[in-house]
Amino acid sequence: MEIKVINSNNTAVFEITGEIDLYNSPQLRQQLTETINKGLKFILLDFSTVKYIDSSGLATLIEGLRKLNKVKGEIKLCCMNKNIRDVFEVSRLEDIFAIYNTREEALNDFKKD
Amino acid sequence: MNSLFQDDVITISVASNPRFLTLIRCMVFNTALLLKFSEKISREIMLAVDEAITNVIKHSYNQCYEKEIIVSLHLKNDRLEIHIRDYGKKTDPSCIKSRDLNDIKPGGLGVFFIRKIMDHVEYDTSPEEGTLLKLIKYKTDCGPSPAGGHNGD
Repeated sequence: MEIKVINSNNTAVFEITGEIDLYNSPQLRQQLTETINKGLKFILLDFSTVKYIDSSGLATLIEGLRKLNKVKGEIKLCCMNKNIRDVFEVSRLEDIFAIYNTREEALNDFKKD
Repeated sequence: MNSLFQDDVITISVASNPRFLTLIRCMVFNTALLLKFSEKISREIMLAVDEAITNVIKHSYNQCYEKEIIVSLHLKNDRLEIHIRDYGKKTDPSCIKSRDLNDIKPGGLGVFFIRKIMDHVEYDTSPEEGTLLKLIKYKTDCGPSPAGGHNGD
């Protein structure tokens, strides 16, 4: 898994490539923690090139969400393929994560908040 | 009609290192496709097996990455049976609970996925060492499991 972080206007965009499982999720956890510790409160995870996620990856996202909630920040997700979206749907995490079809929609919603 | 699969078995033995999860997922997904499960169901079976092995690594082996996990795929005409054998801390089936989806917290989703996806989930703790987890997914065009099935979880 590779994570490229682009910082822009107080928002960090994570471009994630590959699979998020027990092996890779510590890397994502560390990147989220570092970003939040730097004071960035708005994080967008772009799933365009994420092929797979399991419960370890989902747990990492929930941890990130909790950390950001504590500092009144936000995490948004975008550009999931149908297979990934199905995992969020069946686990009902669609209800707690803001999920967008495009990066632009998600970024615009940060600005509106 | 001749049977495509009488009782073919594919077995792989791997170290309990999470880096091998991707390899096992690939094997499970392609085997399910070979058995003519749909791509969607094959992906789900792959997720269930990934979650089961993740639990072995985390709980049976306490994240020790040098133990043995044996995964056997039993190809039947009406189903795919997956056996996951570990030699770690025994699993107490009565303690395995999937979490309430309304209780949003990290953890507990793996068991939820396994039980949601698979038709039969059975933890066999009779071996002297470790646990044998049996997962079964029936092909929908073959009907449900025989009488008494589907209640392993």
